[in-house]
Formats: sequence, structure tokens, C-alpha cells
Amino acid sequence: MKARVLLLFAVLLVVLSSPTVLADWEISKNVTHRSTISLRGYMDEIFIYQTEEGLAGSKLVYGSRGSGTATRTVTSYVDECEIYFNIQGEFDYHPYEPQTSENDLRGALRAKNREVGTIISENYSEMAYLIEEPVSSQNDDGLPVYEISSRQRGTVWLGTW
Amino acid sequence: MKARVLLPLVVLSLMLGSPTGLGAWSIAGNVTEHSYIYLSGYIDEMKIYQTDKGIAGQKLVVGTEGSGTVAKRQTAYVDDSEMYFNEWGVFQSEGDLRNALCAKNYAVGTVVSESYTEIDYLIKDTTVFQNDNVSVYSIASEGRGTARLGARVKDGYDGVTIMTYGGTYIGDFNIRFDLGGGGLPCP
Repeated sequence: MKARVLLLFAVLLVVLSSPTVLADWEISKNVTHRSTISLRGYMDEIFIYQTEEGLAGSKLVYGSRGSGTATRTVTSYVDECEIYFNIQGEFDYHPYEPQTSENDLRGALRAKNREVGTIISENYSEMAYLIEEPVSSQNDDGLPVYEISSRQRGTVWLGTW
Repeated sequence: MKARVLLPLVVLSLMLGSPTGLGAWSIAGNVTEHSYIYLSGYIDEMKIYQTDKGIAGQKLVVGTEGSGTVAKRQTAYVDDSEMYFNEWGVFQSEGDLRNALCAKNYAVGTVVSESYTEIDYLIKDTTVFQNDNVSVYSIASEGRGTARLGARVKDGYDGVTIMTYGGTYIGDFNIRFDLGGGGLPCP
């Protein structure tokens, strides 16, 4: 009985007297970061640093967003006690207009009614662009079956509900 | 009776005392890879590396997909406690080519990712080194298109989040990004 109590007590003492209390970093010794970016266009970036969670330690947030010409260098060093952060940059605003092709506008719409078994679809495409839309059919139970097959260059959103 | 108690204890102490833990490779000593690809056409490739299963060790995934002209070289070395990876490449396309890389070090608590989409042209040189003590990431890229970079540094897998970074760069960009976490000496 004595041994059990003493053992637990000893473990407790070791935990409490450990130099790595909860707020201290146990694995990461430090973080070093250096980044240089030259950009002519649009940028949106954010840096967040902290030495401790919650309402403790040191925090730092840096962000920049917008279009134009930018050259910036970020240097940072963080350990469990301190944050060093340096930003050096030149930012010149001018609007950014991405290069677009002549056939840059596309749209498609599909409306389905599974209970009735009807389908209405319309799509707009310019030259050299294709959206294939197979005709809907019904299976042996009389339920409509749909299959979407399309190919395009750009962004595709698919949803199901 | 004593032997029954002592034997499991000995086995347990050996398992716990092993420096390489449960994740140690028992057969494969290490993996080395060097590849070079030149392509004018369509490419879809992905490589995944890890030193350990699940939420442990180091992971890396890299991939390229799309059509255009690609000349790239990859070098990788992986063993049961560390990985080194480098990708150097020149990419040209009409916007239908994308390249992405994500590296995680669960032992240290670092993640870095880069992706390039709508590439007009891209020259990149990315180096990753990860082991159980440190993570070193070096990204150098120049191009025209959309570049997205992200990084997160935690104190181990479930420690305090020390650094969070996310950036989107559209247009003509020239990026130099170096990040080190873990037991690195002071700069």
C-alpha cells in the first residue's frame, strides 16, 4: 500500500516539476521562415503566428490582398518565448485583368423532375467547346435514369441532393 | 510464475525501448528514386510517400495533371525515419496544366503545400526534407498563372499552432519560400 502511494506521488512530482509545463513547446524548438515574392497580378495572403494558445503569449497577424505589382520579403523567427517578424515590400496598385480567350463565357442549366420524369436542359457554348447531354430514359420500374457526361476546359460544379 | 510475469515485461520493455517504435520498417531498408520526364502531350501522375502509417511519421504527395510541355526531374530518398524529396520542372501549357505538392510531418507538426493551376508557364524547384526532429521546406518558383501556397506549424501533432500561412498569387509571380521547423539552430 505504501509503495503504491509513494509511486503515484513520485509520478505526480515528476509531472509537476517537469520543465515542459503545458504552455511550453515540447517538440518544436523554433520556426524560421523567409519568403520573397515578386508579383504582377493579384495576391491574397495571410500569416498568423503565436507562441501560446488562447489569451496568452504573443500573437501576430499579417496580411495583404489586392492587385498590382508587389515585391515583398517576409522574415520571421518564432520560439516559445518570442516572435521576430520583418516585412519589407513595395506595393504598386494597378488593376489586374487576366488574359481571356474570345470564348470565355459558358453557361449550362439543367432542371429535373424525377417524379414526372421530365428533363429540361439548356447550355450555351461557343466554338470548340462541348457539353454532351444524353437523353434520359426509364428503367424497368418506370423510373427515370439520368447520366451526365461532359467534357470542357474550365471549372465544373457538380451537385447532388 | 515468475517467468510468466518477467517474460511479458521483458518483451514490453523491448518494444517501448526500441528507438524506431512500431513504425520501423522490418524489410525495406530505404527507397531511392530518380526520374526524369520530358513530355509534349498529356500527363497525369501522382506519387505518394510515407514513412509510417496513419497519423504518424512523414508524408508527401505530389502530382501533375494536364496537357502541355513538361520537363521535370524528381529525386526521392525515403527510409523509416526521414524523407528527402526534390522536384525541378519546367511546364508550359495553355492553361490546362496543374501541379501540386503537399508534405506533412506529423512527428514535428508541420505541413506545407503548393499548387499551380492555369499554368501558362512555370519553372519550379521544390525541396522537402523531413525527419522525426526537423522539417525543412524550400520552394522556388517562377511563372504565369495561379500559385497557391500554404503552411502550418504546430508543436507536434496536437500542440499549439505556431504559424499559419496561406497565399494565393495570380498573374506573373516569382516566389522564394523557405520554412524550417523543429530543432533547427537559430538563424
